[in-house]
Amino acid sequence: MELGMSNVTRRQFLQWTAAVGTTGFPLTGRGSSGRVVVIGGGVGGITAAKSIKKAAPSLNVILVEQKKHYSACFMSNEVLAHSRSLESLRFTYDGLWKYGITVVNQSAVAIDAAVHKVILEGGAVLEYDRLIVSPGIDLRYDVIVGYNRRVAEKLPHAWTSGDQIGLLRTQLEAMQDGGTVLIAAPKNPFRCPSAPYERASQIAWYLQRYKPKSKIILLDAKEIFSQQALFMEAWRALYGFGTQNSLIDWHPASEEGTVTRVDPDAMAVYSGELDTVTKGAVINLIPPQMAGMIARTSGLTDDTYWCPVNKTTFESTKAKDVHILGDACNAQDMPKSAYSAASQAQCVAAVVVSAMSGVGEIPLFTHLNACYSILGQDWAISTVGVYRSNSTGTILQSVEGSGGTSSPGAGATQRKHAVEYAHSWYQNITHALFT
Amino acid sequence: MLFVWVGAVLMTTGVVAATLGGDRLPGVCAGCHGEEGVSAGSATPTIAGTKTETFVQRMRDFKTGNRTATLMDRIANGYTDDEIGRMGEYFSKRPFERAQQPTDRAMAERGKHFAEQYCASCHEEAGTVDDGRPGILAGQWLSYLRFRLEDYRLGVDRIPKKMRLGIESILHEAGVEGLESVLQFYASQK
Repeated sequence: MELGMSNVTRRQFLQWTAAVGTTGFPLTGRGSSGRVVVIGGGVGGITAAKSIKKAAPSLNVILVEQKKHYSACFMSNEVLAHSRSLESLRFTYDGLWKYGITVVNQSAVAIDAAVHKVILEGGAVLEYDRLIVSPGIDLRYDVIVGYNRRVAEKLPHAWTSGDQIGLLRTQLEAMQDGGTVLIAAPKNPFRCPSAPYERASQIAWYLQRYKPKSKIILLDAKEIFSQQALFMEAWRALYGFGTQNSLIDWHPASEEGTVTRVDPDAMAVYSGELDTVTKGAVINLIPPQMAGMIARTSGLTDDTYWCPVNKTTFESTKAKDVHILGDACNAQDMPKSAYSAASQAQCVAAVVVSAMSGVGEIPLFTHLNACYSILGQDWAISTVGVYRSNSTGTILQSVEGSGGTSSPGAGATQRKHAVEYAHSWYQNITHALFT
Repeated sequence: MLFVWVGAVLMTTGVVAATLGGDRLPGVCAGCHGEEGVSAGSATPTIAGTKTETFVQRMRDFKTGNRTATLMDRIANGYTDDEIGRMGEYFSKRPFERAQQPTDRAMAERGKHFAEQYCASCHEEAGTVDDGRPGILAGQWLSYLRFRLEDYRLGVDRIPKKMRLGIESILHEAGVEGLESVLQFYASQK
């Protein structure tokens, strides 16, 4: 187990608070307006901060994010096929100030929901009326034997973008033609359910052009995966899937697909009940995941390692006036994606503004998710979902008769247009977040 | 009938939305169509400035399959008439901002002639206004205009007879390049 610090007790928190006092961030503008603190500068956090400020300009909105730059995970697979630069995924938070949002470049280390306080790494304390927690994911180093943070520097997960994506690309470039690229995909739920398969496609596209004697072995801890029929249709058409010369071999859980331990020195992984060994010149091990650290250390997670929330308000079922959104929360039918996080953020913005302005009425929300995957030259597929909660906030499910995937057998024109729409989506979402 | 229905929507949801300082539901469209419906992406259309009636009709066409889509059909099916009305109201009040994109000046000049002859009776004032069904063309993204025209040409989407005849005439006079010049004309409106 490498879960960082243990749960923060109330006593510990009070000790810290007493030690550092409440200096640093005086409560300006409290009273008639109030303060919202947002932890996490990803898609969920930024969208929530901007939407709240837009809907209620008098509110004091503070965004806490330890990193100076944001590295997008979405579209990062394109870096592996050399159709996108790593730099194009990087953004700064400078654009948020002009909306009146205060960006605090520090790490939040504890939350005491009982007294509505967040403590920062430097010791400063932030008081809030409402708290929004959108910390994204952390990787679990306690499931696969022999795997840890150090091993991930040799066997990159590339699941948090930035340096890890750069590392995987460098390894693919250094690999000799004829090498095996091993990708291990985790069980559900995890961030971006279609991304391991988009990644396999993008790497296959790269190998086809630059290292055609190489191949990909995809070990999967699942029996089925998101948009499987559409992926396999593309793999058959583009990468010889199903033939002896296939660039991609897929092994589901029933065919020894579940990776249980790794031997980084031998560049080998062991999987399945028969402890089958597979070696790779490059190993992209995508481990199981959990809610980001602040959510875990503050007692916002349950035994699934994700955060239980009311499905209508996204308020934590464990802490009052704390809303959790994005990958970290359990949103049932909604997949963990950038689009989902943005949709949840719009909903939470409405809930928080409504509550803080004393309206009392909880506005119901109909959520949207849309995900494109680019699988090769002029070939993209999509899946969408529309979701609604029940009145008690216990269920969040897909609206009957809506959503679904693009059609298998969609014409070449549709598939090509989808690539342009995917890039257009990227331009729009990053523009909305950072400018 | 449609008009009455939209009015009713305003009465039931307008109060709450106003108290909240703005309805957040249309925010779900921003991922693809841009903040406030102004697309910063070069293939998705700007939907700001669309008349409520046009917006509602589009969404109905997506639902019924009268209009082809990459994924909007699957999305439209999930939203109620009330929600679609609210979204339409929201975007109708947002200003259409014309896309800043490179266009071919000589081609646009040629396209202007065709546009005036074959398109202007419905796409009035050089496609700058939404007076009901057609929507705004001036300053719309070129990629999107090409996609739509391709669907019309190939008969994937049904269009009024007058428009079909217009397209055929331009094709007859100047071929595919003639059609492209019309799109260049509309896209180049600053």
